[in-house]
Amino acid sequence: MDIQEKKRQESFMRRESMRVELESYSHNEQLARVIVAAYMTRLNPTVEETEDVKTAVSEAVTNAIIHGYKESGETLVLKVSSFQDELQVEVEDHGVGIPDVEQARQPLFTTSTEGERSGMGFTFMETFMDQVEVRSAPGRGTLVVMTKKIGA
Amino acid sequence: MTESMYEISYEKNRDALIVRLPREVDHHSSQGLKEVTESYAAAGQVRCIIFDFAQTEFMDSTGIGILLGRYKFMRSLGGTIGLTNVSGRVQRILKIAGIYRIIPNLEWDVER
Repeated sequence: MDIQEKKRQESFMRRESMRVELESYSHNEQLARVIVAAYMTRLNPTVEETEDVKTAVSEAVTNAIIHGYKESGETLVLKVSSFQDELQVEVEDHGVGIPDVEQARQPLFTTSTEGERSGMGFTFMETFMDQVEVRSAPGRGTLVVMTKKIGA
Repeated sequence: MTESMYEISYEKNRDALIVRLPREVDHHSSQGLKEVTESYAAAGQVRCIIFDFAQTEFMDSTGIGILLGRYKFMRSLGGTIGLTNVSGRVQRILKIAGIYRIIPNLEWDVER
């Protein structure tokens, strides 16, 4: 067994994680996607798996930036971790929060009044990840935890 | 190609407005699209907006909101919108969102 393969197997056997703080400006949506895509290369994802995760991350981070923080520049936290073949992505903000999570998760639901948001953010997260958990409280913020098995 | 991969470019071609989308279509990269298309329409003689995805490799639900919003806007003016040069990932996103049920995918290539 070569050294690289040995390292990969060792990495597979322990939980690993990273955490990054991003200011809630829209240009960081792309940065968040790139960070998660780079992290998950250790799980040997297919191109499609990487694109699925990037889409889900984009939805969660965009929500935090435009709904949670209204693009104020306040800090959101992006945490990525993995254990064996499971990737977990957490996006946390301490912004306005969601009064009714059940309603917010409905397809086509949006609070946007300009009519240019599709209301499909949570639907896309659910479509592209295996599990999506949302914890939120008005005035306290929102935590989205998404998991996906890679190579499943 | 002279235009940026990161920005939208607009070109009026007879009664169509061609909107060339960037490599990644998200909330950040699509800012201003609503206002610019409306100012072209206000200046007159735009019957159709054609969204050209030739450069686009990534799109999130922001793109769906844009297409639905611009579709409604153009319909309100008696016009329409179309899509062209859609490939791979973008096609998957459009299918999941059911966009093809309302917006046609144009077979022909927009002259570059």
